[in-house]
Amino acid sequence: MDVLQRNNVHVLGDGQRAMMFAHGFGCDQNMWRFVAPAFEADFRIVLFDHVGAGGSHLSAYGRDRYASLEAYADDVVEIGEALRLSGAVFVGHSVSAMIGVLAARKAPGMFSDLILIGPSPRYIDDDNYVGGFTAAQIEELLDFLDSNHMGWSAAMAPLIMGNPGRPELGGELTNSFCRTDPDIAKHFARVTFTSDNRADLGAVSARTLILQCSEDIIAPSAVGDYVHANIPASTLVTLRATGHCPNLSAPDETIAAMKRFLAA
Amino acid sequence: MTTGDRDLEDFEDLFNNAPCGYLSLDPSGRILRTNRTLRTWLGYEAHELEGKRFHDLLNIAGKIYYETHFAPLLRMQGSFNEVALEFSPKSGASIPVLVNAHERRDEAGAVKLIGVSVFNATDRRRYEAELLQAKAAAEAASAELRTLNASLETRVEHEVTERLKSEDAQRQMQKMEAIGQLAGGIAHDFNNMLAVVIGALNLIERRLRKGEGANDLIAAAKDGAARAAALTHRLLAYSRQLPLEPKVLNINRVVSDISKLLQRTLGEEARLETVLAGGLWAVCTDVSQLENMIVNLAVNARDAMPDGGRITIETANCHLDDAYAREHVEVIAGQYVMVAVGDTGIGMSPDIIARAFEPFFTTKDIGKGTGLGLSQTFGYVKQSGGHIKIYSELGEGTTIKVYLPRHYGEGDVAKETFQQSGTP
Repeated sequence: MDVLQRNNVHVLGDGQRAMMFAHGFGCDQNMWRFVAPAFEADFRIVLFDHVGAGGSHLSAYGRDRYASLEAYADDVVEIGEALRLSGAVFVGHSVSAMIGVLAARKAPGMFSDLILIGPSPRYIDDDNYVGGFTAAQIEELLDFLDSNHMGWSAAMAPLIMGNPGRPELGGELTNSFCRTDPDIAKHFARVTFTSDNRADLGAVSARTLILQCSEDIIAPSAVGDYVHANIPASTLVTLRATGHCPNLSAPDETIAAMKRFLAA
Repeated sequence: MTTGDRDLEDFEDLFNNAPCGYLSLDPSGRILRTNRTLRTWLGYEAHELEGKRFHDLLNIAGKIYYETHFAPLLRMQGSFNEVALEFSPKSGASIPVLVNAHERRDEAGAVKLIGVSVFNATDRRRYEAELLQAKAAAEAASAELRTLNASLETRVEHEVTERLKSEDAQRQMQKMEAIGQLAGGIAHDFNNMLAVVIGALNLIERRLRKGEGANDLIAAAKDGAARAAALTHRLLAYSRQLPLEPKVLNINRVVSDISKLLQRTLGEEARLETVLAGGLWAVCTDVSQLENMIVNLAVNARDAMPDGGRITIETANCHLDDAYAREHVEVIAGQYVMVAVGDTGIGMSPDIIARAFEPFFTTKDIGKGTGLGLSQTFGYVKQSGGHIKIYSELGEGTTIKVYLPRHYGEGDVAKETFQQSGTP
């Protein structure tokens, strides 16, 4: 299967240098809609969906293949090779921040700059490490996903399949963003929230910007501090924006921080 | 109270007592206001909720999914509808809810606040769980049915094989039983005859030692040995291994020849009549067996008439047609010469008819019959390619008809003109 089709890759903009945007858990390339246009004039924008999300080919998904973040990083490298990326900027949100760290290590030279939005190398607390979640909480999340199938499907239903019995809810509208297969989403959640990439941070040689939100329960500021302390050439910027998705809730602040970093 | 005051009061009443929960959030997701319905569900006072973030009300999975899925969705499309989440109320138990949210924007397009309405979905979630269980049960049943269907063929094959095996076993058992019966009967009869021979030889030995004559005993021993030989002979006939010496002959002539002898054997109580067909076809058979058969049947006929009666020996040309052959599987349709021996005796019940050809089956008193007469006849007829049939009714008498195949060609002794004769 063609990699660019598999990952629903879209290339926009006129710039010489490429900037690849990777969405996180829970969404698709739509989440860059407020940020990516700001770079179209200066960069060649590469947007894609992880296999299992958005317009990707669901047939390419396999639980065994996507049993760890490495497989997602391999996909990023394959896309980069298909587009002959070199010295590009990688922008990764949430779990894709770590996917970018892994991809940069796998393909030296492909990405010279990493912009990590809300990165977390490990979500579960461990000895002196603060991940933001206790092991019991992540266990509860995974149990909930496994046992509460119908409740979970119902929760996802307005997102993924609209509501055919109730057209007034606007299936078209609710279906247009962040489409995801519920079973794949469950497995992606497991892979994401049980990942531990702390050991990979030290090997990052690219210039790195860490964008840390205020009051982000998914990646608390202690985690941002840890990433900053462990990636040698990194800059940490704490945004005024709250929550986990500043690219959506505070696109202007996010764009400004990115431009400052890229201009430096 | 002005109309405006009343309107305001109505709205406030509706806001607080609506059957759904309501919250307003600031753009960053902090709670500004809640209605009474929601506070009742959650068990919190208004001031306890103000300033909290919306996801603080959710369980851990809800928090994560709200932040990663629903908050982004709200930002992108300005609203979300009927998202199933679980609230964690003060009491600790959880409340399934359906959440709708929309952004309210100012004239400049900036988000002013987020309006959230909440439906209590406890019942709906229960129905969903029941539905899911029913679906799982139906799927399990369907899967079981598929497995059953898949294995049906194998199981039928297995059952049939088993059934055939058990039928074979049963047949084998019956055969062994019959062989046992036969062997037992032969041993008994043979022993009796040997006892006569051995007894006679002992006595002869004693007499010879005394220098006495023993001609009578020698005769008795010879007689016993001869009987034993006859028994073996009959057994061989039954087992169809007796060497036959078939000759082309006319049955009428055989019947005529032995009828005088028969009349003496049968005694005065039984009157013998012969009805011999003209133009009778020839048969090719062993004459002594044929004679033996006629004598056997005639003796049986006599024994069936303790008070005397009439014995009829009849011959006829017969055609056994296809219909008759279909009813009697061993019969090949064609032309036969029939010889029938009938009596006016006590007749046979269907049970007895069914067993009449079994070896050692006899209705006669001990010592009178060997039970081999009819079975020997049966063996002879079968060996000759013929057919035998008993017609009998209790109190009415019995007729046994024997059909021997017509002999064609050389040695045909039938010189008489053919006379039409019916099927039996």
